[in-house]
Amino acid sequence: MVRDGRADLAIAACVDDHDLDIELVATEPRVAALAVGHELAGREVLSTADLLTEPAPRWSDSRVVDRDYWLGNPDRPADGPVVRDSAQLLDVVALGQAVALVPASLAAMNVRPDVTYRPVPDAAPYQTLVLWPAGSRSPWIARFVQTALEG
Amino acid sequence: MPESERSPPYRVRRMVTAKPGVATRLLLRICERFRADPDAPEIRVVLSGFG
Repeated sequence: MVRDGRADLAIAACVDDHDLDIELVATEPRVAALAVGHELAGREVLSTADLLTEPAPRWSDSRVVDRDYWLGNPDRPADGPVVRDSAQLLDVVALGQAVALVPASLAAMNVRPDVTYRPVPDAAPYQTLVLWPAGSRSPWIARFVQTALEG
Repeated sequence: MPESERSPPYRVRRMVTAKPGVATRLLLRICERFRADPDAPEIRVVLSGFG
């Protein structure tokens, strides 16, 4: 949407940066979201290898560059239910239909009795990026990015 | 134009998320700063990822 002019900026987690300028504004670990009764929920810490055979949710608009990131491992098949937002994602996890990698902050803000979270230290961290058209000279875009970086 | 007829320039038009995440809180903080500046233009921002 930024590339075709429908948006001036984007705040995103993962992106193909062609024709875009990018600034990293936050990084945090990712954790695995599991149904409380899942066999892996009994472990204190997981690895991306532990998730290889677990069904992964598929984002409705996901591209290849995003898909590998969300799966945590390119060898993991994306064969779980299609989801459109975080609420749907946690619902399919709670139903035992998928195991998802989510940012630790999402886990902290979405404590629910039917979902548990476990650290996955070898998963690539969740990044919050600000993106805008490459080479933009807009002072307001510059100010937006500067404000984002002020924390 | 009376203030009451002006469209609020920095509003979140659509939000689909479980609860506001890092990106949403970041955007709302930036909106708050820009709202305080009467010369600030409308800026279209898209949120992607976990919001």
